[in-house]
Amino acid sequence: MPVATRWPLVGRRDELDVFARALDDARCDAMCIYGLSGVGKTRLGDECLGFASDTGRRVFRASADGADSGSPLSAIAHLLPADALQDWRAGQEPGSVGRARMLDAVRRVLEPAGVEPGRPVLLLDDVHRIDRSSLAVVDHLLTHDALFVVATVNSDYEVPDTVTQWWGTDRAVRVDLGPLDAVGVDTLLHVVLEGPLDGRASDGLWRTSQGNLLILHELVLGAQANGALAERDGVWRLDGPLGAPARLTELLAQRVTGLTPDGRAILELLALCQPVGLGQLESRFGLDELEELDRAGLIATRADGRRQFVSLAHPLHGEVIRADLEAERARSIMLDHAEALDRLGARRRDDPIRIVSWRLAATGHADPDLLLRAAGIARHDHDFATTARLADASLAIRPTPEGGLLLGEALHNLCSFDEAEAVLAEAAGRATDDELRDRLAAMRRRNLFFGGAGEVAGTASTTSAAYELLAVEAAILTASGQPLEALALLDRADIVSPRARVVASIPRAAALAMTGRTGEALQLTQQAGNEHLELEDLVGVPVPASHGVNELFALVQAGQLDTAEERGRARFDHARGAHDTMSATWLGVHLSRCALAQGRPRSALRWLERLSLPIGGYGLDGLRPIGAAIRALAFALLGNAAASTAAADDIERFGPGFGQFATELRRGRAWALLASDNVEGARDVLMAAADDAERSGLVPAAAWALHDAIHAGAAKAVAPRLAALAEMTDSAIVRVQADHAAALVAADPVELAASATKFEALGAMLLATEAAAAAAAAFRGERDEAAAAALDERARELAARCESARTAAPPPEPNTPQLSRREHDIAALAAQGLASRDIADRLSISVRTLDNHLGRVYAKLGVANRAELAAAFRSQRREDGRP
Amino acid sequence: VTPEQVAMVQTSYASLGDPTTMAGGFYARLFALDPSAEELFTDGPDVMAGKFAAELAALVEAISSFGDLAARARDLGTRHAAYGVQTTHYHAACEALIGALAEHLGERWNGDLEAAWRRAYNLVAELMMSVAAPAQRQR
Repeated sequence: MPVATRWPLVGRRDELDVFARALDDARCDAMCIYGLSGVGKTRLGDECLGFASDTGRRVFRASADGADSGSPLSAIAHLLPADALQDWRAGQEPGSVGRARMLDAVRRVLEPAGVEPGRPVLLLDDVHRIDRSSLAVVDHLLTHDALFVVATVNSDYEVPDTVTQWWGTDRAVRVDLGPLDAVGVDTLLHVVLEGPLDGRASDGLWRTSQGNLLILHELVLGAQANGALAERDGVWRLDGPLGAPARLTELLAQRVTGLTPDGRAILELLALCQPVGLGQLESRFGLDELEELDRAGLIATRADGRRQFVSLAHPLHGEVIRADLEAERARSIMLDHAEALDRLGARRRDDPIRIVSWRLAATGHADPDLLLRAAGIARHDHDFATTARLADASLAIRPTPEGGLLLGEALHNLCSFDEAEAVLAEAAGRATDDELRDRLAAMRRRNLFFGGAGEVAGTASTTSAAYELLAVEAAILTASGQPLEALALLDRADIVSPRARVVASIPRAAALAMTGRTGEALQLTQQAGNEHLELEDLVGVPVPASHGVNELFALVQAGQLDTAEERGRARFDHARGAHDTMSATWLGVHLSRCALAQGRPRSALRWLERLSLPIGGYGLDGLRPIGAAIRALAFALLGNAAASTAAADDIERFGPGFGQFATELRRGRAWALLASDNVEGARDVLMAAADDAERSGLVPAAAWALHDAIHAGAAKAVAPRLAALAEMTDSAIVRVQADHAAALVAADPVELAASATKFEALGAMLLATEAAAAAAAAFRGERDEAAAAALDERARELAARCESARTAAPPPEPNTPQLSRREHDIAALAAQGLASRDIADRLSISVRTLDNHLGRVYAKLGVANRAELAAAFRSQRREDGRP
Repeated sequence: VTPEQVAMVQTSYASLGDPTTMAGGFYARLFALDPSAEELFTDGPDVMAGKFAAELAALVEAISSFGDLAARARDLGTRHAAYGVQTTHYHAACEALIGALAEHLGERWNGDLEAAWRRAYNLVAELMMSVAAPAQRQR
């Protein structure tokens, strides 16, 4: 009886071609196979690997097997070289495995050896089940062109953001796999069964399976087993019903119920703990039983290095079996297997994590040290949700201050500030080691300040962790709008280790950007970002995305707005994808500020909506006032005085928030006043804001306030002050703001036009519009009508890119070329539909003269016939305000 | 392909009378559908048509025995892969063959017959392509 556990690939040649071409294309580094359960995504993926292997490339497979697919790196741990994970296994402190070293190790494994024709190929089977740490590693390798990825994506499940990002670019091709059609099913069955099927069998199997390969496979094996499908005289015939189209899971359940107790035990073990070594299964259950399951198409064996591993043939089998398992039995299976694996000595590189995860799943607890080590690995990948889960489990068994730090930090990064404080306070009470106490204190202070709950007293420190406390103090000073004090504090610190440099760089870069030293800030950010990747000990270090937040902030401060938006967007998407809510929120606030500076109020408001800042999303209450200020500004630019005023009231209501935005809060109030035509009030607020900002060293913020005051009629007063500020910063936009103000005072049209060009180059479209409009007015003052008209045109173009923002109204559309009185009268009559003869009679002119006049009217209005003339004439009358 | 469809394919092929003319029509249609296919052939049109008719006759006969058909188709597929025949050519060839047969069979052509030929073609084509590596470059 020809039973095939692995059916040939039929009807998928086009998809295979897509893969072959993508693999050959250096600009492409991923293929995503998208489709419903059972259409054959994995089968196609395996075929792709086979082809890649035939061409001499190395191929790897990663899948999330078993019940617990969440443990960090579980999907790719088997690809890692033995030394990559041994540090944590050897029992070092949590989180001590360098991410950089681990990535290096993976890269070493994948690096093509000279003779290979190209990148190795990695199949990520069922991406939605693959743990985030593994995806992060793969993502990293993709960005280094170190491999080609084939990912199978089940359309029934939510796709991980990382993967969405792959096919969001043109570096990935996407293949949508549908069911086979009737012809494809017939061909497949003819090949599999090695002979023709009669019409009843072919049609019945097609209709019942609807071309779903998994269902078809189950139907054929089931019908063969019960004799309904049998060969007679060289033809496969269907005698007896296939049954109504059953749901896939019911179909699978039926097949599983007919098994021997041992067969069932094997499947249950695999459903919970796969993959399991072939040798291990063989010694426990015997080879016959395994061969039986293999023939029945329920299990599959795959080689991994020199060893063979057994898994269920399809993940749905696992779901069916797990759904049927009693909790008690599942627990005992996982515990037995964990023990067996422990006894054998963990062989696979990820075995220790798997053992921990099974014990945790089975009993709710496991060896607390192992749990803490697993949490440390997750921390290394900034997977704070998994870190928190594992660290929490470890602490529940045995509370330790190290575990408290790990859990508290994870909770802080998940924006659970109150819980983080409770955990950190408890751990601080337990800590006996001075350095750990300092680290806990630093983390606690950071959590309390940025979580917005208040302050705790700082503690003096003499340990090697002293700089951590210092860095937190500096970060608090910076966020409070006191960058000069922050820089002074950091300058006093004795910073020697790479970790200290990275930790200190975060507040230092922010402080530099705040004072207007944007070049230094950008350089430091980049340097620290690189050094961050090399750090071994990450616990307590803010996430790498913090450098991205600083970079975005510095770019906005420098006025490189288009660059800021582009990079900021990418970082925002990345932070969102990594569930890094805190970084995403800070990035979003700066992107919103950036949009305002670009003169795009609607975009600014959209960013706030995405952050749920209006309602105090994520408990980052310190950011609510700046959200309100942005709304006040944006609505003022949109000419909505009521909404602007309401937002300004919110600023008062929300309190001061993070002091670094103090100037912007007052700008928000001032713009609400401007929107309500309270020019004097606005000017007072803006000048006071600028004074305070200047005193605190917030040079770019002061410049924005002063430049705003131009709208309150203060150009003469602010011009010299802006010129002085421009000398104190390398910010390009402050320089242009100063030039613009000076040109306004001098009514210098050429300088104003130059300012428009410079604002435009930075991406500040609204400021460019204002400058161009002012240039037009200045040209007009010099009676240079042609230059004025050209600048009017420029102002209109620029204004069109400002999402209806209006400060200086762009000039009206140029009038249609003036018709002479006579031409106007003729056009009016012609537009009414009068014939040439009648018009000529009425005006007592010849038809020939009339036609000459009409010709000129057509040319001036740019029309070709009477109908167009009538339309053009009507619209011109409307514009002129005539009925 | 059901036994009834096998019979329909074999009977209709036998009734063609002059398979070489049909084969000529097949190539004309193929090159119209996919001009890139023309580069794959070096023989003159008559030689091509003769070879095609002979191979098609052999396949039509073999289709009633899966073992024979599979061996012949896989062998043929290996040669086609060496010529540089790609998946897109297989798709175009199917339409060309159906069109040429319809033209030659005239009133005897019908929906059932077309379904039978399409299934037979698909079976042979899948067997042929199964031995070829996927196409790496679009021609």
